Parts: sequence; C-alpha cells; structure tokens
Amino acid sequence: MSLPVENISIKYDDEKERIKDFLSKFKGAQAKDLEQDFANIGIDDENDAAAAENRSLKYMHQLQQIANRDQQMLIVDLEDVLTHENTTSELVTRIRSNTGRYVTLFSEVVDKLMPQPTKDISDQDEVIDVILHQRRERNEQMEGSQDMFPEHLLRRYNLYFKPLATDLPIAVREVKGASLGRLITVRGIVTRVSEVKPLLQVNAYTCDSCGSETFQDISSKTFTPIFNCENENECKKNGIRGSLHMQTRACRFSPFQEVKIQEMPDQVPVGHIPRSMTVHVNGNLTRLMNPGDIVHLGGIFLPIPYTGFQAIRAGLLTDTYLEVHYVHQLKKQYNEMEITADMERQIAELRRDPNLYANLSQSIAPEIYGHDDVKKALLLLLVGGVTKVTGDGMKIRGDINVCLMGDPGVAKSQLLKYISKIAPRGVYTTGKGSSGVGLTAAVMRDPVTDEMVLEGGALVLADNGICCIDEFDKMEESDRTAIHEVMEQQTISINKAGISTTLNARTSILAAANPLYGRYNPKISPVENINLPAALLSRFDLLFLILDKPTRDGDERLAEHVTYVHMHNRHPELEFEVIEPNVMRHYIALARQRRPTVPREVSSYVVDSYVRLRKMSKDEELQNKSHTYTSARTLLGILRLAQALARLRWADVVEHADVDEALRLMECSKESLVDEDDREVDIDRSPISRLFRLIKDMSGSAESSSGRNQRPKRFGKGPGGERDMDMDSDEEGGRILSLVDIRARALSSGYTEAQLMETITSYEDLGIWIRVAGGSKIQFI
Amino acid sequence: MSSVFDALQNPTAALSELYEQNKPQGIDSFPSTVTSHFSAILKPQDVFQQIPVLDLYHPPESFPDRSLVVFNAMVQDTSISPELYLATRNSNECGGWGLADEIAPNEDVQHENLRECSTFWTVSIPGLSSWCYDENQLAPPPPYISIQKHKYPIPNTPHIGVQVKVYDEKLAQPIRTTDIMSFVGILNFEPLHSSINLPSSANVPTLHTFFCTPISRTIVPRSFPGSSLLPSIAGLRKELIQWIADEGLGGDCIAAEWVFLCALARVRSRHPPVLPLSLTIAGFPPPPDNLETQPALYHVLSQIFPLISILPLTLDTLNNTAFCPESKDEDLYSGRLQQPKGTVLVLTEGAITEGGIFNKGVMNIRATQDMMSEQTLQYIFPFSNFQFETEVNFLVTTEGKRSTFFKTDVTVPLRLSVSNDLKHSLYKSEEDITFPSVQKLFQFRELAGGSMIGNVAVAEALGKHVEDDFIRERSTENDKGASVNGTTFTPDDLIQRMLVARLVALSLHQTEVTVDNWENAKKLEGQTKNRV
Repeated sequence: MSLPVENISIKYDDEKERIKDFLSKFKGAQAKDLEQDFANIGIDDENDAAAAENRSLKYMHQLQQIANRDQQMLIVDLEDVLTHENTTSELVTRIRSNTGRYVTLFSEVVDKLMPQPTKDISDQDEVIDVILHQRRERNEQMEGSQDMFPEHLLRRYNLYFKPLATDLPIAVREVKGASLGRLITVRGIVTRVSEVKPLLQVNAYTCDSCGSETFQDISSKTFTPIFNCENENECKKNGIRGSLHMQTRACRFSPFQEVKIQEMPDQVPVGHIPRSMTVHVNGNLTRLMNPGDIVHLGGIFLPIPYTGFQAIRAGLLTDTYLEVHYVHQLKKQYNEMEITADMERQIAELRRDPNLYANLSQSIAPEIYGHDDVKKALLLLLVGGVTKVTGDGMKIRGDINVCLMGDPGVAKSQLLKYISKIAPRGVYTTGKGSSGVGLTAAVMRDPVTDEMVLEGGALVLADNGICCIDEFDKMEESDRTAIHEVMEQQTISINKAGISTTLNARTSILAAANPLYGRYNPKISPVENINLPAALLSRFDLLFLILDKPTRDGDERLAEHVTYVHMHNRHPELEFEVIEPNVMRHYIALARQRRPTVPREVSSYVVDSYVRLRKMSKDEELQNKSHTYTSARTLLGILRLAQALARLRWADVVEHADVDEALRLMECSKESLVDEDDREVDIDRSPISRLFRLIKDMSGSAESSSGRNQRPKRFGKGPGGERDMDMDSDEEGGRILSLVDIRARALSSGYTEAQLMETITSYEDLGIWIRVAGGSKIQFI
Repeated sequence: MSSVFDALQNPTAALSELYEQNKPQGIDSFPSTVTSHFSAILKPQDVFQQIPVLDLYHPPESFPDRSLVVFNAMVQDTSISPELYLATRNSNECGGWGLADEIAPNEDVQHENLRECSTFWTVSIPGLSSWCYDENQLAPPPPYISIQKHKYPIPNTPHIGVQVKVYDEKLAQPIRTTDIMSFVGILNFEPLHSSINLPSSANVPTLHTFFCTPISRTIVPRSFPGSSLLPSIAGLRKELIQWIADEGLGGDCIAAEWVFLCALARVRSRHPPVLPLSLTIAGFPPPPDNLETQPALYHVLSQIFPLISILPLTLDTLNNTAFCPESKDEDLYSGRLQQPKGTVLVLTEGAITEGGIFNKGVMNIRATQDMMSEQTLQYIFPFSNFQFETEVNFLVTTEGKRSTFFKTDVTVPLRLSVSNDLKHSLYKSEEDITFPSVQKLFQFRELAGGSMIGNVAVAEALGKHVEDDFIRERSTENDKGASVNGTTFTPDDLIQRMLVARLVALSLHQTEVTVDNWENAKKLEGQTKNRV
C-alpha cells in the first residue's frame, strides 16, 4: 500500500501551458451535443476535417457562456484531455493522481482565458452577478496595485473533472489509503442525504474605520475570523486598530451537501457487512441524489483531520470522504447485463449443442433429480412467449404461468428459489406474505424521508420478470383478487390511502401450492385436492402435480442420495454437465430478444389441434373424468409455449415441432392429474371413502342442498363454479354434525358400525374433522 | 524472559523498541512484524495466562492508561470504515497503536506516512457461561455502566464494549461479525469513530491490537474423541442425561436426551443443507407465579454448555425489541439473534399472554423461524438486507402441543414424573439445583464439549442399511395403505433420522455412525411419537 508521492519534477508553469493549449484548442462535438454521451468522440479524421468548420472549440465556447452568466458548471472531460494529448501517461495520469492540485491549476488557466462577456449585465441577473460585475470592473481599474480581489472570489463557475469512461467503478471497501488525493469512481447506493447548506468559501469584511474590504480564504471546515483591519494603506499605516465586520452579501458561498453511500449487495463479499462512505457534494452537483439512488460517483478521496478537542486528545487523522466531481445515476439500466467476450464464446458453443433444450432444462436446479417435464416447463417460463399489443390497444400476454402442486418435501420450493435466482428480475415470496406489503402493494412510511410512499409488493417488483409465489394456496384474500388481474391483464390497480393508481406487473407467475389438508389425499378427487378456484387455475398455462409416491426405484435413489450427502457433506457428482446459471441467464436474455412469428401452415395446425382437444375435453366431461378445461386460454397457452420453444432456438419462425412439443407438455401436465384419477377410482370404492363422502354431503346439505352434485363438475364451470367453490371453503370451517344423525344415515345405507368408527378415526387423524362434545358430534376443521 | 516482562509491563516501550529495530525494513512491514513478534512471545500458554483480562470484574477504567490486556470478545460490527493514522511521527518515532503527535489545525500532514487501520466494535461474549474462564468467580461482578448499549445483543445487560483497532491487514481481513476472538493489545481511551456530523467528544475504551486469536466454540479446548472419557462414556452419557432430566425436566429422560442431542448439533454443510435440528419441548408448564422466572433447564444447561442464551418471549419483547441487527445512520445496532456460532438459544413461550402482534413482532418471528430452518439471519440495512450465516441451536419451551410461533424439526411432549410442584422442579432457582461432584461436572462438560467439535463419518455399510430400511419402511406402508392416517415416512423424515443418528454417535464420542446408533435414533423417535 504505497501512498502517492508528489512528483517534484513537474513544473506547474509547464502544466499550465499544456492546460491552456488544451482548453483553447480542443475541438469537441458541438455545444448542443454536450449533454450527449461522449461515445461519438472517436470520429475518423476524414469526417473531422470536413466538419471542422461547423465545430466550435468545446471549452472556449463554454467559457464564453460562463462569462455571459449562462452556464455555471465547467466539466472537464478527461476523455477530451486524452483525445487531445493522445496519451494517458502524461496530463491525464497527473490529473487523476493529484486532482485537487489540478482543479486549482485549471481554474487559474480558465481565469486567464475567460473571454469578455458578450452580453451586458442587466436587471435580469442575480444580485451576486451584479456584485461580481462591479468587482471585475474594479479589478480592471486597480490593475497593477496589490489590492486586487482574489481571483476565486470572482469565479462564478465550478470546475469539475469527469472521469475516463474506462474508469471502472469500485466498491467502498476497495478504496484504500493509496487512493488519497486521487480521482476515483465509486459505486453505491445513496442512504442518507443532508440538507443543502451554504459553505463559506471566501469571507468578506469591511473595516469600520477605513472602510476597506478584506477577504479571507476559507479552505477548511473551521476557521478563525479576523478581527483587526490589516489594511496596509490605511489602518496599519496610521496605527489605528479598525475592527472588521463580516459582509454577508460580499462573501462567496457554495451550496454544500453531505451524502452517505453504502455498498451494494453484489459488492459485499459473503459474510461481510456493507461499508459506507461520506461524500461531499458542492455547487451545482448538490440536490442531484436522493436516498435509494444507485450512483457512480467520480471524485477525489480526501482525509478529514480531526479538529479541536479531538485533535488534542488523539492527534490522528480519522475520517475520509469523497469530494464529488461527477455524478452518474444508474436507474433501471443497472439490471442490464454486460456480455463479455468469454460469455459470447460460451453462448455460441451452447447454440451449437443439438441437445440444447434437454441440457438447459436439466441444468435447472441440477441437484433435484428427475422431474424432466417440469423443468422443461420452467425453462419455457424463463424464456416466455411474445407479448403482443393489437392495433386497438388490446394486449395479449406472452408470459407463461406455471403452477406446481404437490406434497410437502418434493422440492417445489427449491425449484422456485432457483428460478427466482436465475431470472433477471426474479422475486421469491410466500403467499402468506408476512410483511405488510404482501404481494401487491402497500402504502408505507418511508424510513428516511418520513413521507408516505407507495411500496410495490413482490408482483410489482417482478415487473418484466418472474414472480415465484410459494404457498400459493395460503394467499390472502386481497392478494388472490389482485392476482386474477395480474395474470391476465398484467397490471395491478391500487386503491389505498387516497392513492389510486395502476401499476404494471408484466410478470410470469410460478406458483407452488400444497394440496388441501397439507398432503395429497388419494381418497378424494384431484379437484378437491387442488384447493384453488377454477378461474385462477385456468390462468395457468401449465399445472403439474408432483406427488411423493413410495416406489422402490425412487426410494432407493432418494435414500442413496441422503446417505451420500451425510457421508460426504456434499451433493453427489452429476451424470451430466451442468450449464452455469450465469451462462443460462445470458442465453435466455438473448433468446428473449427474438420475436418469432407463427406462419400460416403452423397456425392451421394449431387450430386443428385445438379443435381436437376441445372435442376430447367434451368427451371427458361427459364421462365425468375431466379435471381441466380446454378453453381459448388453452389455445393461447399452446401458442405461447411454442413461441418460447422457437425463441430458445433463436428462431424467428415457429415450427411444427414446436407446437408438438407444446402439446406434449400440455398433455404431460394433464396426465400428472389423470394418473391420480385412475388410482382414485380404485380406492374410492372402499367403504371408508364412501362413508366419508356421505358424511361430507350431509354437512353440505345441512346448509345448501346443491353442494354435492356440482362438485365433480364444478371445475369446468368457469366463473359460476368458482363462486361455489369459494362459498364452500368458507363454510367448511366449523360445521358440526351430530354422530347420531351420521350413524342413522350410515347404517341405513348399509354400512357397519365398525366401518363408521374407522372412517371417523382415520379422518380425524388426517385433521379433517375432530370429535367434539364428548364424541357425540364431529366438527369439520 | 525479559522481553516477556517488558511486553507485559510496558507494552508501549516494547512497541517503540521494536519499531526502532524494524526501521531498516520500512514502515510497510511493521504491522506484520508486530503481530509475529508479540504472538511469539505472548502466545505460549504460561505467558498468555499472565496477561490481565478485560472483563466485568476488571473493567477498562480499572487499568492504567496503555496497559497490555487481553479481551475475549465477540465482534459485533465490522462495517466501520478504516481509519488513517500517521505511521511515522514527526519525531521519526513509532506512530499508530494510539501513539500520535498533536497536529495543529490546518497543518499539512505527510501523506506518504499515512497508513490504514481497521476498526471493529467488539463486546463481551454474549451468553458465555461463567465457568468457562474462571471457576472461582462466583460473586456477581460489580455494577458497570456499559457504553454503546445498542451494540449488545441482550438489552439491559452489563457488558464491556471496546473499539478494537487492528493495524495488520492480514489479521483484520478474516474477521467477521459474531466471531469470537481474543484480542491482545494496548488499552487506552480514544474518541469513538463516528460520523463527522455528530462530533462526539466521549472517549471509549480502545484496544490497539498486537495480535488476536480465534476462540473455539467450546471456549475451553476439548478433544474428540475424549480418550479419558471413552472407557465409561455410555454410562457417563446416561448420567448426564439423567441429571438434565432430574434437575431441569422433571425427570423426563427422553426429553433430556433430545435436549442434549439438539444442543450438540452444528452446521455440517450448507449446500446441501445439513443443519442443526431445532427442538420444541411441548407441554412445558408456564412459571407458577412470577412470569419472569427462568426455567431450571436453562441453569442446568449453562453448567454444561459454554455458550447459552435465554430469550423469554413475551408480546412486549416480540413487538418492541430488535431481533435482527439493523444499521441506523451507518451504525450497526445489535439484535437478539446476533449470537456467536455454537450458541444454544432457549426460547420460552411461558410468558406469552393474549394480545396483538404488530409489524415488528411479525418480522421478529419470521427472522427467528428463518434462522431455525435455514441458519441464516438478515441484517437490515437501508434499501437492502444482507444475509449472514449463523450457527445457533434452538430450544423452544411451550405450554401447548406445539410451539405457538415456530415450526421446529422435533417436538417432544414433556412427561413429568416427579412432583407437580413447579416451583421446586421445573422452575427451581439456581441455588436449589443439586450438582454432581465437581469431578463429574467437569466430565459432563468434557463430554459435551468434545461432542460439539467432533466429526462423525457415515460408513458405506451403514449407508446400505439405511437405504434398505427406508425402502422397507416405505413399501410396508404402501401395502398397509398406512397413508390413511397421513403418517407416511417421507424423505424429510429420513434426513432427520440420519441427523439424529449422527448426533447419537457424536454424543458417544464415536468417529463413525454405527447401526446401533441408527437403531437408537429410531427408538428415540418411536418413543417420542408414542407420546403424541
């Protein structure tokens, strides 16, 4: 850690000549382009020569504007210095390593170069300008005498350096003592902003006996005021001790703000606490930052010596701060990813992989064994379909929504967490939404500004990304209503605390839900197990049921895995090569830029398939076997999946094969339900299940006689069915049936007492009902 | 030996002398020279014990200025910005370690002589059992008014807080929050490193580090397997469990075994997660009269485990105290859950009354639950939260069938076999506890400490046995259709049983899990299940 040692060999007069040369001769882009990016500076010579006449001298032009009081900030772009000098080793390096000194040098040169104002002072100008104007005139009259105003009192510009574009922003913790005095660029999040205060730079006094003005340079935070007139020509000469009075109007102040920045999560090494840094902002750079902004700050890193009592006690230097020269606000573009050459190579390699689809999907949560089709669906969810806005402003959603339903402990949550990490804007949340914000949005009090602000919940935060909602079934009622809107219209309407607004929530939803009563109950139908309204379910393009079924094969593999983990404290080696999440993220980001279209012959194929599905669905419904429902939404779902598949190939046209794969996934998703259906039929005939249904019907008929007959079909009934469902689930809590009634009904239906008791105890164990009133009644939970 | 004597008596002179010797090598190498020099002469056991200890019995004020001390501490805050100091003073003497010239305002300093030192905030180790460092100090320490109270995890508890400055970058680099370490160096009082907005003139105890060494989670060094214990280990383990049961759990040996096993656990791996088991003792009656009475179990365990904290849950603590550390104005406030690795944290739900839980309470419960199930804790910062790895074993006592707030891995219903007089069983005071002989107690601690640091392997043979067992269990269930009552043996159950079997092996100081351990774990689970 070596600290900068000033290079004594530099002759500052030579440096001033260089600076003068640069400022007076540098030709940049035209003045009006100043705000533009400096990307267009490297223009080739031919062009340069041709357009030279149209170009003004970049800095001289600005100096004129400053002289005319039209401009206050003079930003010296180090890129310009670099272009002018054509080397970084000379002036640029010296500016960067001893910035404070060069601010003074540049200012001195600027003062010399400052042209005459072409615009006269008028009553439109501010008081300070008028005073400055008078001073300048006085300076001219007094030329030669020693009683001139200090140059910097007359300055009405602030000179800043803009760091090189190649200067990589560093984290607070990387700023070391070696950076003292240097121009560095730091990235961080603004956590605290002080009020803007006037900082005294030149204090002006008038003497009450001779009337002369005295000026005092203030360079540190504290200063000792002068009390006695030091005027050589009057007071001193006459031996009078004239006392000085401060003249506020003649003083020079600069707006000053203290800002705190803190490291960003990605800059903090694991296990460390983020560091923060004090930042001083002066002049025109004040009021540019607000808490929560992510910024690149170019500035000089300086120490603050202890002052007063502390210096006497400790005598050492303590805090350091950054004196800001350049503020670059990063907003959403922060999320954009930069592709390195290495990444490009890896992606090109991936594209050549004929087995890309399978390899990518396998690499999703690689430590979770199997579930190939689920992973494929998740891959397509990441890629997404194409969102279209029709001519009349109607929007067709391209985002794919997937729901995973299943027993606890089948790695649903791991899948969700993996997806939320890999997606460019992934948010993982649980349906319970234990914070105040929940899924949608809430009005909160900002901890910093103490104002009421609208804070976006998970769905808003995941705009243009993926929102992974665990425990979807345990969602709050208000969120459940909102999610209908999100999943089709992709907006959230807020009407809280006097704020009425619509926020964008263009997000894919990946939901995981547990079956009713926690575990999948094979005794009741899948529809009853899936504890979600049909209107919500139909918004999912794909629904997978993942069950924890004991099978010899699966169990063996599982037990092997568990014992392996405990033997070696790590996961076993995988049989295939895993594509790095980072590579996958980049690949998907690029794939998402494609907008594949559906050609005519493919679209007619889709239509045929849809018609076939509709017919099948109708047949199934007649046989009372249907658990899902084929609707226009299914058609859109197929198209979305097919588009995602085309995107994955970076193709611009959807092919037949894409549609086939989309149909296959749809089929798989359906089968995961139907499988259970078959099993259900067998078991369902057992007396216990039949008795359960009987009792359940009794409870239903106690309040609404229509409860039972609709239940199996309710799923396909659309909005009407959904209402029924909601009513049911409300009523279910706490219904009490007398055991006497049940027994009478059961015995009359031909069941035995023993069968009845078995039913009651086994369902009590499941936690579906409990016996109350000393066992004479049962109560549904 | 004179250099040892010098270092102990006049550390400043020893430092300056070293500086003079080191001059040819330049100031850049000096911090590492200090580390190696002083650790070489002060680290040997007999010398180390002569270094005065900074603790509540010997608070900072009791030492003369610039004394050499050792502070056994938990690192609370590592976010403080590094500080600059003049490594060479104007007189060409040693700078740093609290040695500095007075600098007049506006006087320029020699930038090339500026060096950086890292600053940390450290506190007495929370939850440290009193027997760990000095067995003789039975009298409570004299009252001490702690400074920077918000930086200690346990509110309203006297503790020592010290600002530690580390000059050797290599030494400072690995230091993390909640690490427990011994810092050896010069103690003086210096201004708190704080924001320039609030020039605080209050001076705080500051330790200028010569060297530091990490403290093991057992505090007292232990060995695994403990060779002196091995011949009679099964009996000793039984005695220990019996003692916990008799004195802390009303004679319930099964609950006591669970308590003992779960308190031994530590994080074996994070990916895949092999984490400690959290335990609820259900049906644990609330205190008879004073709701604030601590259960005897806590006193019993603190005789055996070196790091143990109790957190009595009440609506007030949940709603009004901070559980997560939180950064306010660039100062990291501590939270109840900021505990060193290896701590046993006892949460009692006995004093919960009816009432509302507000936003903060919900966040606190959630943070605790996350820590139980994932062993990570969020530190709250403006605009972002940061996750830190923890290693804390949770023990919850609750009156109901399961914990009111938390989902723990294991729930054991308590079965009292002795008198119903709670005052003299579950809630007896520390004085009423019948202690085993000093010798026995020492062995208990050795047993527990060794188990805490031990490593246990799972052999192929057992792996095969476990696999077969699992498949058998699953298939028989399938045949019986046992899933009717919803008690399928799930993969999660398998993982848990594996963890228990490993803990059983550890508690017997075995280096390998045997089939017996597996069967014991199964038996323990079975006995517990039968109670539900």
